[in-house]
Amino acid sequence: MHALWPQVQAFHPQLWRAVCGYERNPVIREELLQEVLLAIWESLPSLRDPAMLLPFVLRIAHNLGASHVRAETRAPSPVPFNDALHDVPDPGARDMGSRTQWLFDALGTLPLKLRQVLMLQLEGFDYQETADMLGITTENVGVRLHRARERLKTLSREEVAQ
Amino acid sequence: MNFDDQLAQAFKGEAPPTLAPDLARRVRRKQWRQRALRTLEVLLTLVAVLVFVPALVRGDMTATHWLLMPFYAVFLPTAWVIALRKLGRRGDDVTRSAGIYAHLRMSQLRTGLRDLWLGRAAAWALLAYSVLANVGIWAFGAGDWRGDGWLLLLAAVGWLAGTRWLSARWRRRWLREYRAVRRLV
Repeated sequence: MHALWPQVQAFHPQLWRAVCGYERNPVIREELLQEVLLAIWESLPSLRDPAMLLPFVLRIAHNLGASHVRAETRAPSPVPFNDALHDVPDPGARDMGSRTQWLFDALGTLPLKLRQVLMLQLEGFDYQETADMLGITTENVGVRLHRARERLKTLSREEVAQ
Repeated sequence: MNFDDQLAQAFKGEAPPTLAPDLARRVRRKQWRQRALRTLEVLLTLVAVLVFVPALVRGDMTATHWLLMPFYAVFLPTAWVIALRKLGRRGDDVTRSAGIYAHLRMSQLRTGLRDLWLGRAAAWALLAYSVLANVGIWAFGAGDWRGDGWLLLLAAVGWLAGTRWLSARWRRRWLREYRAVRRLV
């Protein structure tokens, strides 16, 4: 077993979130995660800098996720991200669960190029790191992030309008 | 909390299942499958060599040998090169940036789709050869060849059916993946 494998296992939540962005069916999602982990297992010997392990494994997850996805899904039933509503503390995990569910359903409606950038940004990577992982410029990252956020805002505003 | 913070909180709210998948079993299964495929390739080659080479050397080629030799010499290697060496990802391709990975993967998939077309064309060519061979056998009255002619025709029909089934299955999957990956380019 590779020396870095325990660290890869520690990144299980990040890899899980990446996979969830590409597949919502629970059974197929597990299969995709297995495929990602297998690819990481086989690719670990090619990692030169152990400090770059998280970007390395997430790049694999996003590449395989992008290969896996068949088509964008239809728009989800919106759950409002309304500043007025969220000025008050949110009481329950149930509400957080529905927002999480909505977000991942909404991510599934985004084109792949916007989805990948947004997911990496939500995972905590900055513009330069995201650009390096996707092989694009930081300007491109900014443009795609802006478009992705606007699309999600539009989806959430549709519910408020209803 | 602004919109971005709300998104980040909702994103991090997706928690994985508690049990991590058992990868060791999957790796062993993949290695076993690869060994089995390599063994099958070697066995098929050995069968062809053991059937045809002694007959060629001794000079006692029968109707069966002559009719089936094109099948083994041309169509079978073509088919197992395509079918048994199934399209796969090279380990380090998937570690590249999205754009480079997409180009590499699309190239692999195009090659795979072309190989599937070649496999189907080879199967149709084998069927055409077997039909022509049977027409020749019946037209020129080589009675002792008729049984072997039927055997060749049967093998060709079976090979075509198997090739079309496998090709349809893989083609659908690879075309889906190609369309998905193309959106990254």
